[in-house]
This record gives sequence, C-alpha cells and structure tokens, in this order.
Amino acid sequence: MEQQPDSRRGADRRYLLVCALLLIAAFAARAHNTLLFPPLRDYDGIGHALNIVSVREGRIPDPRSWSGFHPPLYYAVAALVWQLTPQGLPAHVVFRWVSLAVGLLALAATWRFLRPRVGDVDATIVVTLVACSGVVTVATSMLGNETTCALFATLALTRSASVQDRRLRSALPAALLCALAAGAKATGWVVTAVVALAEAARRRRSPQRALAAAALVMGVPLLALAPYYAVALHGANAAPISLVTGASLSPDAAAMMATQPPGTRALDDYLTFPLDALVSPSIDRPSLQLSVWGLLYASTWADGHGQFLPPGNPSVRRANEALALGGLLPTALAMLGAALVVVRRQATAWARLPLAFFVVLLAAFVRYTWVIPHCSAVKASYLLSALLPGSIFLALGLGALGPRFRTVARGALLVFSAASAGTFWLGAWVR
Amino acid sequence: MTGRRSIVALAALLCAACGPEARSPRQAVQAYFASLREDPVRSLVLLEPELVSRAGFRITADPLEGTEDPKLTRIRAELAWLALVKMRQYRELAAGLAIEVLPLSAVGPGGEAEVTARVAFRGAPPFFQRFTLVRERGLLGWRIRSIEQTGVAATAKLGAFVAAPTEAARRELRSLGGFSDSAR
Repeated sequence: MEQQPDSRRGADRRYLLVCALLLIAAFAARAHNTLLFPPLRDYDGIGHALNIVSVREGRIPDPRSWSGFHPPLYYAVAALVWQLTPQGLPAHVVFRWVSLAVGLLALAATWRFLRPRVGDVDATIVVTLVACSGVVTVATSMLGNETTCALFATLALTRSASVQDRRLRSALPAALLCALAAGAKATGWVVTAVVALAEAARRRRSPQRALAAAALVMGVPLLALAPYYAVALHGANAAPISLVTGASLSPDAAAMMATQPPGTRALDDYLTFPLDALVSPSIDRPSLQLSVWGLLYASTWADGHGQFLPPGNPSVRRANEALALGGLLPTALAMLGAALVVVRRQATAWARLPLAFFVVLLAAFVRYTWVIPHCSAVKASYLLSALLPGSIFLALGLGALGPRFRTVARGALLVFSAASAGTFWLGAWVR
Repeated sequence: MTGRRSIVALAALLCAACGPEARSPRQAVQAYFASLREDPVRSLVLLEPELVSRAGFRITADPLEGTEDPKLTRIRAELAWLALVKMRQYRELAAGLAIEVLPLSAVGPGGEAEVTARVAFRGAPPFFQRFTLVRERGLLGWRIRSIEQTGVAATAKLGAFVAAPTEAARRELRSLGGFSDSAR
C-alpha cells in the first residue's frame, strides 16, 4: 500500500478540519435560519402545512388542495415530530427541522458513498460545497418534502450501485427505499424506474431473474402506495397520472401560476443562458424568466427566486450576485465530471446508475417545465433528488485536475462554500 | 419490568407535555392568541374547521364559486386562513393585543365550555371575546367552535379584526384604510 508523505497527510487533515468547521457553522446557521425565516414563507408553505395538519387529523390531503397531490410520508413524519415536541415551539419551525435533519442525512449518505471512490478529502470538500450551496441551504431551511425524497432517492441509488449480489432478495432493500422515496414525492417514481432497470441489467444473463428483479423494485412501491393513491383519487375526479405530476389538480395553484411569466415555452428557452444568470440572478429579470437553464443555475448557487434572501438589501443583493458568479467553478467541474463518466466508462462504472438517474430526471424536468410554462416550475430544488449524481460529477471533475490546479480548486470551493453559508445566514438576519 | 414501566411513564409524561393540542379550555384560548402572533399553523389546529369556513376567507379569486363541494370550500378557507395569519403585518398587529383570559365561566351539558377574554388594543377601549369550545376526540384536544365579540367600540375595530379575523371585517377595514394588505 502506498504511503502518503507526512506533508500530504497534514494537508489532508487541514482540509478535513476546515470542512468540519464549515459544516458545523453552516448547519448551526441553518438551524438558526429556521427560527428567523418568517412563518410559512417557505416554498408552498401554506400548502405543505395544511397537508401536515390533514395527516395529523387522520385525513389524506385532498389532491385538489394547494400541495395536496404530494404523497404523505414527509407530512406523516412532520406530524409525528410535532406531536413529540414541546408546545412552545412554533409548528413551522418543527417542520423545518424535519427538512433540515433529513437533508443532513441525505448529505451523509452521499459522503459515505463517495469516500471510498474518490478519497476522503475530495468527498468531504464536495459534500461541504453541496451542503452550503443555495439550493440545499434553502431546501434544508424550509419546510417541505424535497429533502425527504432526496434522502431516500440517494439511499436507493447508493444501495443499488453498491451491491453486486445477483440473488433476487438483494434487490429488496433498494425496492423498499424506492417506496419511501415515492412516498415522499412523485420524483421517487423516477428513482424507482431507474433502479428497476439497473437491477434488471445486473441480472441480464438470466432474463427471468432480470424480470423478477424489475418487477420487485416496481412492485413494492406500487403495493405500498396503492392504498394512498386509491384514497386520494377517490372523489378527486382525476387521472392517476395527474396525481403523480400534480398538474391542474388545484384550481388555486393553477390560478396563481397562471399569473407568472413566461406563460408559454419556446425551444429558445432551452437554448439560451443569459448573462443575468451570472451577474443579476433574480427572477425579476426578463431574460431569466425565459431561460430555463439560466433560472435553474441561479436557483442552484444563489437565491434566484428571491424567496429566501431579502431583495431590498443592497449588501445581500451583491453577495447573492457574487454567489451566482462563483457558481461557475463548481458548474464547470460538474460538467467535466459528467463528461468523464461518459468517456471513462470502465473507470467510472460505479457512477453509471447515478448518471442514468440524472439523465432521466433532467428529461422529466424539461418536460415538466414545458408543460407548466411558469417561473415557479423552474426551481433547482425540483432536482434535489439528484444530490448523489451531482456530487459524483463534482468529485470526478475535481479529481481530474492536475495537483496544482486541484489545490487551487479545493481552496476556491471552500471559500465559495463559506461565502454561500455566510450569505444565507446574514440574509436571514437582515430581513 | 420496573424499567419498562418507567419508560412507559416517561413516555406518557412526554406526550402530556408535548403536541399542539390544548388540554383545557383556558389553555386553548391562551394558545389561540399566542398562535396569532407567532404560530399560524397552531391557530388552525385550535379552531374547528366550520369556524374557519365561516370566517369567509378564500385563497384566490374563485372561478368555481357556487359550484364547488363543501370539502374543497373548507380546504380553501383553511389555506386562506393560513395565508392571512402568516402575514407580517397581521402578526405585528396581533403582537399588540393585550389579553386577559377570565376564569372558565361555564361547561354545558354537551361538554361545551365557555371562556371569555378581555381584549385591549393600542389604547382603544377594551372589548370582550367569548369563546365556545368543545373537546374533540383523540389528539385534537380542546378546539374553538365559535367566537363572539361584545362591546367593540368604533375605535377598536382593528383590534377586533385581529383578535377574530373575518373576511367581512377585513373588507370593512380595507375600505377604512385600517388593514391594507389582502388575505390572498
């Protein structure tokens, strides 16, 4: 086994120490944000809160309600935790803590998968960066079901990507995790489909086993959620697929969305990336209202939707703009990493399943934004379940750099992480 | 065995001190006023759904008015209630309420309890707000079935709206310039 020189081990320890301190500070700030951020200003806050109240009272949320089409796992967990917390704590804070805790677990699962594959330092730096990114900061500071789906999607993908056993029973844990992901959000069905195909592909030498594995992975979530869908659809007068996509079920959500730009989508919206995404990452910019990738980028690294940071504060606005510009480095690294998974197929075989999931999820996202041509449909948090593939791409991109560039990039990513964590903390203070 | 009993006793104690439900009529009224300031979701849990519906708020302009089913009407009223009480302007006004909850005045034959609170707001003459409460099954605890206000002076209308919001009062105040924000 190759011995590392003392100087390198020392440098590695320093990186890990800085990451640990950053993560502790970032999550402490986030816990604080959950108290400071105004009640129910969270994305679809009133809809999610009403779902929790419904589940606590023993009712499945009505799909015609604002966010009533979402499956009930997050709401059930939040209702349970609410029941176990002291009365002085505001409900919305408790619900945000559930998002925060679950998001932290999703990041931990990602780190656990990455460490043996890309090394301790790169895995830790990448997870620190992702944890401090705008999209994860906002998702873990707000109440909602995104982080719950991201956790189980990550666990299902890591389980399926790690296991070599071809016996049928080895597919069961992944099937159960897919059921939990689909129980949290419809995105879980994308994970389920991809994992089912992956489990079948692993057993392709025996068509019977392949078919059985795919049926198991698809069947467990279907069986587990069939009672929910039966109750939810009863009386809603809607097709089952509408419950999965959520389209057009709530007249109130539809009426609200109808007022948002752009109103219609054109091919150009998917072919442009305006400069505003880098220098003025605000949903108020007409160019960003049109550009799907521009607004997606702005809401990944900054507060592109202006939902969290106070828009009127000049210092916070400048910091938000700096984050958008700084997001270029991790974006470039992630694109490099994704290209490497495609090109170096043997060396990165372990990343194939997360890549496949990412591609399918992105395709679903494109369709979703086409069908619902409004700004609020273009949120990076809708891709939060791609936490694992995104982190893998970042780590592979970072690892592909030469030693000198890698050192510079590691430092830059940590500075960016600290700036992002600081901006979202201070932004909540000055609101 | 003793250890197991201790765990059960501890869990029961924990459950008794936790959860959003009110364990007495007076506690429900105190919690109601506190929730208007800082905990919109709990305010919803403390009110019976019919009372929220009667408040008359709607979440958006209603294209289905007159044709929708009661379940959807209830949901929209609850969403609109949350949309109102989460508003910063509303919560700041609610923080200005000075509340004195009087002792439990009566418990009816059907288990209904009545609690009255004396409400003062920004120097306006105080008024009384009488709550009728019922104990619901399971974890729901005591909930407010109806609210009646008496002795509301013309100068106390804003305080009366904040203490028991209704769409009718909001419209009246908006026309007077007392509460400019929309509940939408």
